[in-house]
Parts: sequence; structure tokens; C-alpha cells
Amino acid sequence: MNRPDVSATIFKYVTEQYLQDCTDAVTCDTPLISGGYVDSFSMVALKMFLDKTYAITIPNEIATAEAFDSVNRITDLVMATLHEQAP
Amino acid sequence: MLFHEPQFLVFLAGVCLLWLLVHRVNFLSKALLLAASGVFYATFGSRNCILLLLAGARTHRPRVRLLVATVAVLCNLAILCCFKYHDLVSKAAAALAPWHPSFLDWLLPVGMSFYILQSIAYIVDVYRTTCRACRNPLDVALLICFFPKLVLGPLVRPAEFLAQLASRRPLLLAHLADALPLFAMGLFKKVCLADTLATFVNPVFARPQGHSAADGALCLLAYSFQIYYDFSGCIDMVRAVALLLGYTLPPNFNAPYCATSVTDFWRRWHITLSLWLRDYLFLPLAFRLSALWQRPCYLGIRADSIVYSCAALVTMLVCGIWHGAGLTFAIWGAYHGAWLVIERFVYPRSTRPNYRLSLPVALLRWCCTFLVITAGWLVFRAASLNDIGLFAAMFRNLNGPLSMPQPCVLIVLGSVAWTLARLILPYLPAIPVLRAPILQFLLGIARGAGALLLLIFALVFACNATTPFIYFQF
Repeated sequence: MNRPDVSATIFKYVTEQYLQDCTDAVTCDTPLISGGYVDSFSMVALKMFLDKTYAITIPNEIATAEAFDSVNRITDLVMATLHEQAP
Repeated sequence: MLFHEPQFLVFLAGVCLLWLLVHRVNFLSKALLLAASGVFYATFGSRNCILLLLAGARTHRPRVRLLVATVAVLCNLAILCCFKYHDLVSKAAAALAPWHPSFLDWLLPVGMSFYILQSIAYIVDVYRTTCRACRNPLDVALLICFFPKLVLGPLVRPAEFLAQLASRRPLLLAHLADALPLFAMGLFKKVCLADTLATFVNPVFARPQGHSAADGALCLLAYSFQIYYDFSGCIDMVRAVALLLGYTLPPNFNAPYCATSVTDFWRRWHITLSLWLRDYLFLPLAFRLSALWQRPCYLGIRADSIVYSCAALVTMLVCGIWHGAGLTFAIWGAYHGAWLVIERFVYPRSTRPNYRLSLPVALLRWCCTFLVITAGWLVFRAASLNDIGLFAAMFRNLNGPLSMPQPCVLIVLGSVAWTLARLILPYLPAIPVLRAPILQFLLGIARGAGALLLLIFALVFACNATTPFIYFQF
């Protein structure tokens, strides 16, 4: 699984689920939580989506609000977990 | 010695003068601030310092592994529970054993709820590696004990505050220019607004019998604004004092009564506690639950909604209990948790932070939210369930006279009008002339003059100030 694919999947999920009504130009570096696009409920749903989509369990201690603050950071998190939990 | 008392101003002047002498050497300025924090805390009773020192000692750990972090967090929580809920602990101990833990009765440290949470934040962040383990005990001690934020917060993000401690704080006139209006505003909110409202609210809550429904309604409104002015005034003063010494503390309020949902309210009220609860309780709990419930739906309800609901309810219950051991606090927390869950199901999209409502919908939602929050304050303020019943009985006396003094009526009406204005203002078209540099300059001068007037006015009131902050009891 390569990074651009993971990033594209996460970006698609985030825009479809949380940014339907958003008129701002959102990029992979846009702060999602501190920018007010994603709230704590969305974070829970997003982590459940990531765990299920990539068949991983992102460790709770690294799944912080800061780590979920942009698509790029979430991608880093997923890639690191994929690397850690690779069979 | 609290921030609005004349003694504190003398103390602050002394600290600022000494700080001016030593601020070029970071180590000396931090040592001075730690000593000042000790003196400040000792004014609440020297015995309190023992526990504060213990909290600092427990927190200073250069390396944190899971077991160490767990033990350290549990120790902090155990101490908080023992001292905060000493009534319950004493009763339970008396029921279980013939001896009575009398030490719990005399050691009730001021500000413990805040510095324990601050300690936990540091330990967990170091464990999560979101904060570098600090090897300088002076820095860790100041993170916990920095006197402006010691007794009433705001809770800071350890990494951000430690980064400020790492370098020498500059002596800037801009800090003074920002700090003075902030301090003036805080003092004004506390001694002129909150304390004036208290003159009406406290007697009505103490003896609700004989008051009319109008008194009851206005008393609740008055308490809503009293607690806001009291706490936000205190935080303004705290931030101003920290700014005078070169440190920036996070804001704790963002026009909370402009909220258009309870979810929105918790993004605006006691922001640093909300963030603490999110980061150290809600998210870990929700993630733990999500690992347990793997199916997409349960009884036709999405699993993520169930996870959110359970975690939100528990978090708000803990938030309520954190405020005090009484049943009323637990009910208040559960009440807010229930509203968060209801809003998630009723309007899931529009509770998101950036969602822009139309003005009529925003006004309608604001009205409902304000009523919900205000009703919640009745449970929060009442000493017991019986008191809630006595207060509610006031609403049967529909024809009774209004006994609220005129200054209180003016403050309440003015506050409602100001809240509405702040809600509506973003919907009005921008007027370019207001952004003209000359107008901005004149506004700056008017702001400075206004702050000076507020400060003088508030200082006159402060000379007789004896009312402690409401959050002081928590």
C-alpha cells in the first residue's frame, strides 16, 4: 500500500463525510480539528473507518487530536501503523 | 489572596519589580516565579504547599513508560479523589473501619483540581511522546505551580508551556499594552458585574421561599451571567498577569452564551477543561469502545454514534463530578452529556464547528440552547435536590412582585443584548470604512482610555471585594 493511495482515500472520506457544506479550498495540509472542520465525534468515526479500511488498530496513545489534524498527518499515522503491524 | 484583592496587586507589583531586575537571566527569572508561586500559594495556608510539592515530585519523571505513567496517573487521581471527595471518603471509611481518617478534614488544598489535571496532562503527554520529557525540575515545577494559573487554571498544553519556559521571556511594551486592558476587563467583570449579581442571586438561592416566578426566572438568568463574569473575569486577570511576566496562557472562553447548540457551548465554555477531557478521557475511552464494537450497526444505530454517545455521557458525568462530590454536579454533568447525545442524533451535521446556520435558525437555536444551559445552572448551583424543588416552587407564584434590584436588572438585560449583538454581528455585511487605519487608530486609543476607566472603576469596587471566585470551591 503506497502513501499517495492512502492519502487519496483519506482525503476522499474526509471531504465526503465532513466537508459537504464547506466552500473553503481544503488541501491535505488544511488543519481539520484546529480549523474547525472535524469535531471529536468525527474523529471517532474516522478512526473506526481507518482501522476497518486498512485492517489495522491505530494505538490509542498515538491517536491524538494533533495526529488527526490534517490529511497528511493522518496518512503518516496510518503508514506508521501499517509498517508496525505488517505481518 | 485572590486576583481581585488589593493585597494581590501589591504582591504582583513586588513580583514584577523583582522580575524586571532578573528577567535577563532565564534561570533567575524562573526561580523568582517559583518562589513567588510558593509565597502566593502559602497565603491560602502553608500546609497546602506540602501537597503541591508532592504533586510536583510525582510529576517530574524524565522517562515515562506505560507502568510508570499508569501508576503516576492513578496516584494523582487517588489523591484528588481523597481530598476532593473527603466527605464521601470519610463516611465510607467510618462505615468500614472504627478509625476516622481525620487528616482529610484539615487538608483541603486550594486549586488541587487544576494542578492534578495539569500533572496528569504532562505525564500522559510524555508517555505519548507529544511532549518531550523535561529534565529541568524547575520547569516542571513551574508547569504545575506557575502562580497565575495555579488555583483556577487555565490548563495549559505542557509542550507549549515548556517551550515558553525554555527561553528567556522578552520584556515587551506590547505585553503591557495587552495585559492592562485584559486585567481591567477581568477585574471589572468580577467586582462590578459578577459581585453585583451575587447580591441578588445568593439570597434568592439561600431562601427561595416567598419569591415570585419573575424573580426565579431573572435569578437563573442572573446566575448564568454571574458565573460567566466571575470565571471569565478571573481568567482574564490570570492571563493578564502571565502576560505581564512574558508568558501567554490560552483563553478559556469564547462568547459561550452565543452558542447555538450545547455541543457548541462546550467549545466555548471552559475551553481548556473541555480540551483536557477530550484528549485524556473522551478520545481514549471512545477508541477503546470502538475496538470492542466492531459491527457497523447495532439495533439499526451506527456503531460510531453509539461509541460517541457512551463516551460523551461518561465524559460529561466525570466533568460534573470533577466540579464537586454532590449529586447535583453528577446530574448536571449527565444532563449536559444527554444533550450532546441528543444533538448528535437530531442535527448531526450542523453541530460541527464550521457549519454556518442561517440567521433565523441561529436565533432559534440560540434561544433553545440558552434555555437549556440556564436550566442546567439551576442544578449546578443548588446545594441539594431539595433545593432544586424549593427553587422550582417559585415558578408557581406567577403574580408576585419582582424584587430584583435595578443594577442587577440592568446587568442582565445589558448582557442579553450584548450576547445577541455578538451573535448577529457576523451576519451583517462588512462596512469597509470601519477598517480604515485612522478609525482603527482611534478605536485603539478609545480602547486604552476605556480600559483605564474600567480599571479605576473596578479598583474602587475591589477595595471592598471579599467575594471569592465561584470556581475557587472546585
